[in-house]
Amino acid sequence: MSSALDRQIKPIYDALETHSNKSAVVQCNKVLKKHPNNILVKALKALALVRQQKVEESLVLADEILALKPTDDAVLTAMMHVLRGLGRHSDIIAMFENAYKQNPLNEDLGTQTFFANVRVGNWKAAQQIAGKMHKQFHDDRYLYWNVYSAVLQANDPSTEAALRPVLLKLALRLISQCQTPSFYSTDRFYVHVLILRDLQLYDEAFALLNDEIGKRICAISLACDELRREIAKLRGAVKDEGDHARERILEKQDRNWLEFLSVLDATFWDISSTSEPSEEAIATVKEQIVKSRELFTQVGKEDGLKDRSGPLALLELAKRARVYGLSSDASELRTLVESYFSQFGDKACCYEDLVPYVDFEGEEFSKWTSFLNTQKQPADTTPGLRRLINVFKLQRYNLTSGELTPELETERAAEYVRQYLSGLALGSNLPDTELQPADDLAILAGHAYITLWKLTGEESHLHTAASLLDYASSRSRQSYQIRLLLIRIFQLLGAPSLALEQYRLMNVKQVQTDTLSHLILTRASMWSLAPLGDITYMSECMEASQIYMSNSQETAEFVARAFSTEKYSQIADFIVFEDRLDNSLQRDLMKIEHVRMRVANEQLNADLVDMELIELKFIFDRLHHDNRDFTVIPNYQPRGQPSLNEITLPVKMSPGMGWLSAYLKIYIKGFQLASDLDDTVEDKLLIGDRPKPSADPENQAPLNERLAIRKQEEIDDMTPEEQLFYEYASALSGWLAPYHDHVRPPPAALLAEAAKANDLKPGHPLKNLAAAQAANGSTTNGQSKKDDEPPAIKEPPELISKVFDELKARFDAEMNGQKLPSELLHIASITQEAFLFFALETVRFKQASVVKIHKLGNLVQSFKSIRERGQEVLTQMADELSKLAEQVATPEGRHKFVQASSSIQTDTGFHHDYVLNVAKKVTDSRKQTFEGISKGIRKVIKNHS
Amino acid sequence: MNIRPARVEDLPGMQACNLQNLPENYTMKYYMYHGLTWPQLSFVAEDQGRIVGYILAKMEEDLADDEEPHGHVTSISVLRSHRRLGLAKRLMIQSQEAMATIYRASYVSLHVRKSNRAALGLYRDTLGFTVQDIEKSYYADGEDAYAMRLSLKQSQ
Repeated sequence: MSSALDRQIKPIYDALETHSNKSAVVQCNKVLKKHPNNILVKALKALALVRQQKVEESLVLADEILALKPTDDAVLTAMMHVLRGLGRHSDIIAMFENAYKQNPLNEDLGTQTFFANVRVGNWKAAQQIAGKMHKQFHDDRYLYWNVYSAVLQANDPSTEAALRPVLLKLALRLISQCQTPSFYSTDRFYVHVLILRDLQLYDEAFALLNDEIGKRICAISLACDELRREIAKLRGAVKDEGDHARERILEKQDRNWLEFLSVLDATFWDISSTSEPSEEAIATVKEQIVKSRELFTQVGKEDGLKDRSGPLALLELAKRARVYGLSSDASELRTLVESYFSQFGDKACCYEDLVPYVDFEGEEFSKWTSFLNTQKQPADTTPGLRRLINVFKLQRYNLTSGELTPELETERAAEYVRQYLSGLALGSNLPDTELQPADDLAILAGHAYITLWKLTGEESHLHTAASLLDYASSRSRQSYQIRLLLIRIFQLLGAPSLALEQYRLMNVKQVQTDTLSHLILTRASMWSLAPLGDITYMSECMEASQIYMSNSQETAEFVARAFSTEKYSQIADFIVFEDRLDNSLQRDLMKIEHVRMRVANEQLNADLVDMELIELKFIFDRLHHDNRDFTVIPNYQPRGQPSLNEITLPVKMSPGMGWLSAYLKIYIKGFQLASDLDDTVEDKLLIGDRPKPSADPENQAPLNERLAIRKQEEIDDMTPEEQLFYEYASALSGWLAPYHDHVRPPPAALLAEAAKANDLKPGHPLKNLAAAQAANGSTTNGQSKKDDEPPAIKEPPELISKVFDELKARFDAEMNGQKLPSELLHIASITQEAFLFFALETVRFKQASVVKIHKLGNLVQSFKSIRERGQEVLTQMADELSKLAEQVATPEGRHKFVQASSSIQTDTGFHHDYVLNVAKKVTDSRKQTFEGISKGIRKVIKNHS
Repeated sequence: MNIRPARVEDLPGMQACNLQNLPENYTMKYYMYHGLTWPQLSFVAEDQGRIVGYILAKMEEDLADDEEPHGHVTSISVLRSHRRLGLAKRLMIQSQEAMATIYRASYVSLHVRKSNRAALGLYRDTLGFTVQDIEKSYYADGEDAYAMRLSLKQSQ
């Protein structure tokens, strides 16, 4: 390349670097005028174009460049980014393979080809390339790439079970051929042991780990040490491990809980490893128990307050002894629990430490209860306050259902509040970055008021909870646990804007958006004012989805880097992690919510229908992981009672895999009917790669069969209203499918149209289009008109006509009952969804010409009454909701809200005016929501009448 | 309580620890980079299967010619409910030992917010760190940081 040209290309790179993509295109065009065939400039132009979302123009250039089979490093790099932007990973692989084939001596091209396969998990191809590279370049690194790719291929779910040992044996043979032994690098050693483990060659693995070098490696590599521990267990050397751990506890002062668990497992091994232990075995275990008890007691004495391991291990020992019926003293566990409490009662984690051990019954239960009563002492110091909080928590855990009466719960709530307000004094000097030591008392009070609401059905208890927790949050700004309770209470009270505000104050970021966005995005469509053009929740979905984008761009890159630096012990973790995020349940629950809001927000045209159809079909094949974190929500409810998370769900059921499956089926079917795309057309028009086909045998059946299957787990996950909607949507799709199929234009016509549209644009025909046209032309001669007669017009199934009445009846029942805002909004949103779904499935028949040509007048006639009934019902709901909106944000409404907590208000701090402020916030937010939803419903009716 | 090496799949748990502890915003990529580059230096504390604390640490990458290799604590965090149990100390020591034995680090450095009295007490009084310098508006919100370090030479 001439240096003059170099000088011209540099500004293009500069522009790309600063993301000035428009200017990059201008620069490219300038150079291309003089050098019309410069392939690098073309590649850079394609990159600038794809970054501007000008997909089709970029596509044309990319195809042109790929056809030239580039080998130049700069071109390949640019093209890699272009193709990634287009989602065409298989083309990246083909491009590098091609280049490497032309230059088999270029090591760098080999590496790039290997990485391209690694990034998409193509282990088989990766393995072959690594093998070839090892032969060519004689570097042991490539041999281990080959080995580890084989291991990964063996572990891939799509690999047949019979092939796995073959692959692993091959890998082992390769290692034995290597000139340097595996222990020269910890990570190679790790791979070696891993293969032995997977081949169940435990003794050989153990021999490697236990010789001089093996021990040294385990001492510095915890990954290897973990493997060693696991293999010891697999060999059944549990007792050896126990001895080993005992030594480490005594001599090295190791206080890792894993060591204690090893001792505990060894203690009971003689009876836990067999179903019918002999007398002799039982006697041995009894002896072992005594020995272990001595050990743990000694540790406890030595460590004192410095470490909890000894006393915790004693608790676990006593519990296990009881499980095996080897407890000599019925009161042992309780005595230990009491002594633990006396020692560690002023640690904040004491409650969590003890909960697994305090399910006492009968006499032990009453002794434990009276012990707790003696521990309740006034709290004038911070440790004293923590002890009191632990007493309260443990007492609450003990409550029987007989003690959960409104009267007693009211008393308890009042006590929690009293102690909370006085406990605030202990933290009055703390900076506002610190938590208040009394926070948990406010949280306990929140539990009590929420329980009171559950027991009595009176919303006023939620008002009290909201007021108190809002105050507690103002005193302890860092407490996310208080915010979590507030989110749920605000949602129940129909004040989603306040819930969203609390969520944002928690500053949820990065991976947290996967685990925690469920807090505000579960069934977000019911809060959303999307019909009015408010896209708050839609953008929140997009923002929370960022993490999945970074995951797919970055994690695969880390896998490639781990190969490059030979950090094999990290690779499997990265792959698991990538999979968990990529196939996250929350990701696709959010996707469904986004679709539901989009349908309410936008016009139901081909753009929306086709795009969502393709995306939902991709999701339908995924095997999901549920990464949602519900354990962050505090729970101090009595044993045997539903958790606080469960009782504060704004709509009683939490959506899971079944819910997702049902909703995917509903919308895929709906979009499929509304869309003109069939599979062949979709294939031709698709730009990026398809996801890897799922290995699940259940997913092998044809799509339409899979869509028709109904599962119990789907129904179990849905509210009664959602179940009704599911049945209705299925009935509607079943009824209308024949008419859609009759009217839908044939694939050839569609492709011709797409080609025509494409011809109008500058450039190049779409991928495969010409071939498709030719093929279709020859088989159908361009004429694929179906039978002239439409399918017989059937009456709509009864359910379709009745669904709106049914939903109205549920709405009325809620209006005459608790009037819980979240329930009312849920029913209203499902009714609106049913109406929109009807619009979606009938939009095709809106065109008078279509109806006339296909003689579907009678069918369209029957739509009218259904649509009208939907409109009537929705109008009535909208009226009710606006009335409620008017009622709530009034002086009387606020007065009632403030009155609810009058008995616990104080003169300063948590006083009348503070609560009035909360009342104003909540009632205003609810008013705004009800009004907005009501207006939204009217807008939806107007748009689709 | 168990201290074990951090793994990539601990990321959600580690981030959950940060809900109230750290306003800092580390990207997923940054965590992964630590995991990939110095897998032996980062640890989590696990209690009943839940991550209640972690340390994310690295070796200093851009060393001047006259600088000795040294480690740096990127982030350390323990849940409030599990404070005052010696957890942070154990996490620190575990990581420091690895820095010294695996990478021959001569000292370990860290930054702490001027206002973070609890952490300052831990580093200075319990672990023996000394303040080297004050870095003006080190944090995104403008707060100053103390740059602290601890020699690892005796422990080798």
